[in-house]
Amino acid sequence: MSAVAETPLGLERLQSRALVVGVVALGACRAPPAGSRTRPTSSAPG
Amino acid sequence: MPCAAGGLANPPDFLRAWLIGYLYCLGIALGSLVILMLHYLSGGAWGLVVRRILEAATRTLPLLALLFVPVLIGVRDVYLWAAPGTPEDDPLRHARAYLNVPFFRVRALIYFGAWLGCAYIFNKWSRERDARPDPNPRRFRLLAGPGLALYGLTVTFAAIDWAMSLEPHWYSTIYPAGFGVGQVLSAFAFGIAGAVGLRRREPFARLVTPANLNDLGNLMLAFVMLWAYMAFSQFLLIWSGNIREEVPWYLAREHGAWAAVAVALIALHFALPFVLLLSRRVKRDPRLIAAVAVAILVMRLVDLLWLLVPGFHRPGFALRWLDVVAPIGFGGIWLWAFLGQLRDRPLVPQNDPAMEEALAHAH
Repeated sequence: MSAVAETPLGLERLQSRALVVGVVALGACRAPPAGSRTRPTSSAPG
Repeated sequence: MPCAAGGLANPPDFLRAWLIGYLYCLGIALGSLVILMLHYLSGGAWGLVVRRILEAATRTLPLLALLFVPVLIGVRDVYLWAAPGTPEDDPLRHARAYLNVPFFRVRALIYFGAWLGCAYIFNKWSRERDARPDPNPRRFRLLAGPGLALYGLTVTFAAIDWAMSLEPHWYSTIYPAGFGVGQVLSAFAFGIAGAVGLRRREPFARLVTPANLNDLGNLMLAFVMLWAYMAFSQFLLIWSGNIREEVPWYLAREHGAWAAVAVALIALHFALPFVLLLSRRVKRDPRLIAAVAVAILVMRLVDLLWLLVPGFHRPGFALRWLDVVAPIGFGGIWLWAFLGQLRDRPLVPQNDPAMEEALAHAH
């Protein structure tokens, strides 16, 4: 295995995108859009 | 963190949504630990393909322990049994010896102690073996056996504490086992998707062979079936027993849109992956098996929503904005931590006695 030249992982961009998605989504928790809090489609059984 | 502010606006809703994302990511990390231990016990070339991905996932456990602190602090906002003012005639009074806030916190510390200890030792030994040939390779196997038993014990209680006790008047002895099986299935799907995503990197590319993917696909198929077996056994026993204390759990989950979610789980969490993974061609094709793995990862989240959200005691199909967005955000942060750990070590384990077999197992 050591004879093969190593390919760089190149995961930096994916890692930073994951962080952005995480922060943006968690930030969106602060302000739920109007009308999206509950979507009842039926009543719960007794 | 931004979510802390969101949490201040409505702590119970936020903490419950946080719990969904938390249990999803914890499932991948703990399932990874289980697969590592299974591989140390059983051997086989397949384990080398996913080992570094699984090890990196287990190294996110310290972060996950930290991210459980909001639940520990806000336990009274999340769990009905912890809320003050339980009526005197409530049957929950008899469960107080177990379901009380201080003991809940102590148990969580014990679980994390066990999981972090196992993850730390396996990662430490693996790093040592990278540096030089292992003088005592049997030590992995000697720890993996008790480690699996410890996992079985701790995940049973953790599933009861963190998920099943959302509805404290209901219990099922199969529930924790199904919870653990779901974690391992998540980790298999995550490991396969990750290995395929990294398959063009050398020298890792030499490990991601059709034969190794076929073995991983077979193992994932086994856990798809085991998950379905657990879920169906629980349903069958409760349906045939038809006891007043047990039936409401299913009534809440077969009502309105939750019934459609249940059908989707049967179709997409079991039937479709089951049929696809029977095909040798699908398992040996990197793109196809990765597609199945990603679909399973999505359905794992749907399964968690179906299990947990009706336990939040809202009327009808009350899926809220936070229930979806908070897990996505939590997943993003977890993935960021995971990728940081993955970059920390080479993708191919060094000095492993099974490496020759893995390379020979090419077709």
